[in-house]
Amino acid sequence: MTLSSFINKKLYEKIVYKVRRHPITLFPAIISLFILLAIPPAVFLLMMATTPSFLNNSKLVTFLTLLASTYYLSVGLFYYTYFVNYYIDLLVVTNDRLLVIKQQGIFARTISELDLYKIQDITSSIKGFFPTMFNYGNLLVQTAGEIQKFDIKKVPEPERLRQRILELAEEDRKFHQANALHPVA
Amino acid sequence: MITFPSYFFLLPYALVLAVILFFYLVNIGHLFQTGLTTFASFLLTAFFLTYSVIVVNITWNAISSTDWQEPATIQFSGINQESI
Repeated sequence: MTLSSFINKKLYEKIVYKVRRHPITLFPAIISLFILLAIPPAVFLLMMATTPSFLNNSKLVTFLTLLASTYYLSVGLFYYTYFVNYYIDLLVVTNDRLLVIKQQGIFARTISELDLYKIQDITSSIKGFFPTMFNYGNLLVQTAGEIQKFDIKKVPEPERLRQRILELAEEDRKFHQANALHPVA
Repeated sequence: MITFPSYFFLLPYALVLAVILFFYLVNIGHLFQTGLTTFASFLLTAFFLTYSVIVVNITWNAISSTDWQEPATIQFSGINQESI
């Protein structure tokens, strides 16, 4: 399956943008990964310092080895899931629609979709030291559809994206108005 | 006091391995389902799978010299009758 078939791309539709959260937002997760990986060696050193005789108990050492292995495998799986969720969380902008794909955990995904011509207003905001330094922020899209507000967080270059989406929305509105005046048989 | 053969430790570990493999496959399935099988997602998957294989390999080498038939004992400290 391709992304085009996943979003049921129409024949006249072109994917203009595929936007993910700014990669700098992964930085805290990477730091926490290294901290978590350092915990078992730290515990081992602590045990060596306090009760070095535990090494004489081979069964205990085996049990602790399996426990540490389980811990490392669980940490690996947790962060793999985190990075897959980051990768799947996607804002897809076509010349017809705006789609927000959000993977929420392993067994939950939401896909929100709106037609570009229904967009009434977009607000971009960049708040904070790191967002300002790395130029990422939030987009709030107001629509005339069922879902009235789309909140898209931590996207790179939100101001340029806002401008571009508004241009695409205007083009789509003209297309729909032209079709309304001269409907295709 | 409970005594059991040491290979009993391997049973929950095998279960953990099976569960972790299952969730890895679910995540890979998500990437295929959403059509996001790109070079970046391939690198990410390869990195974490390699990491997991290395962890299992190190564990296997660490416990390979264990005599699994040897019994393991868990002792519980009982209630001191004189303290009641």
